[in-house]
Amino acid sequence: MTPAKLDLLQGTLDLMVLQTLEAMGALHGYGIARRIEELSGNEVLLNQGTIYASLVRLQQRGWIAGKWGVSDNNRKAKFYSITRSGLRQLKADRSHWERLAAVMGRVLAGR
Amino acid sequence: MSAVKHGWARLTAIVHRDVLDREFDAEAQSHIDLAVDDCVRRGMPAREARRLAHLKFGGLDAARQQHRDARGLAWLDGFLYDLRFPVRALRRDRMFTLAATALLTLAIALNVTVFTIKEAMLVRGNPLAHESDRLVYIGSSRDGRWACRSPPSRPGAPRPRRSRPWHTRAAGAR
Repeated sequence: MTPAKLDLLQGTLDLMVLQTLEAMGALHGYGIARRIEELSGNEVLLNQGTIYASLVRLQQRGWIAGKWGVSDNNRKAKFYSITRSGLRQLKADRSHWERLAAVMGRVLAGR
Repeated sequence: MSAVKHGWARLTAIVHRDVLDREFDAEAQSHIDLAVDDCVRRGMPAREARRLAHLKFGGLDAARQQHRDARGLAWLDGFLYDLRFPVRALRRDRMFTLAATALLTLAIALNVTVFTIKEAMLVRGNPLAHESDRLVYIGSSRDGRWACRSPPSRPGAPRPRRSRPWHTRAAGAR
């Protein structure tokens, strides 16, 4: 039996989206979802549709900007890119996440 | 500042609900198209590709609702939505709405009137009530002289200062 996929913790998807946009430049929702799936080795349970809630949330906070454009294979799509305040947020979120992960690692290793 | 901007964005999202819903639908459609293209390019039959694309996207209605919850104020959105039904019902039944409004208007007006009178008489009361030693009765006695005395005080109240009849004081002053 294969182990069940990981449910995403609250807020982790937003961080993944920010990181993806920082690494890849402007990308549409489908591209972001694919990239996260690939990097996570398909271990994350992600309904690709949920990514749009994350995108609209990040956009309202001004951390990403979206613009309609045309994809390589001539499909209309909305392309997102990270803003300057988004980069700042990514830095803060990343260090918060790393601290949390380190603490969890230490606590779970204790006996 | 960014919190204000964010709050404003969420508030206007409710007003622009239809526009934003259409935007989401367009994005979802574009997402499915891109996914199908992707699978077909990797050699999947178009039918299978479409099925897989929808499967991976998940429920469209659920995603749309998530989109709404993320961008707006869910409670206000729900409240406005709930408000639509009674408003529609009231508009349908004009006579009932008119009668109910008239009745409510009368009842409120009556309440306000009664309350105003009662408040003036009972709550605000006599402005001198807390200085009862300055309150006097003035009257004339049968022999034509003026007299003045304090009202009878309640038990326990401080003894009024001026309890002498007016004319005696006036005589003393002269």
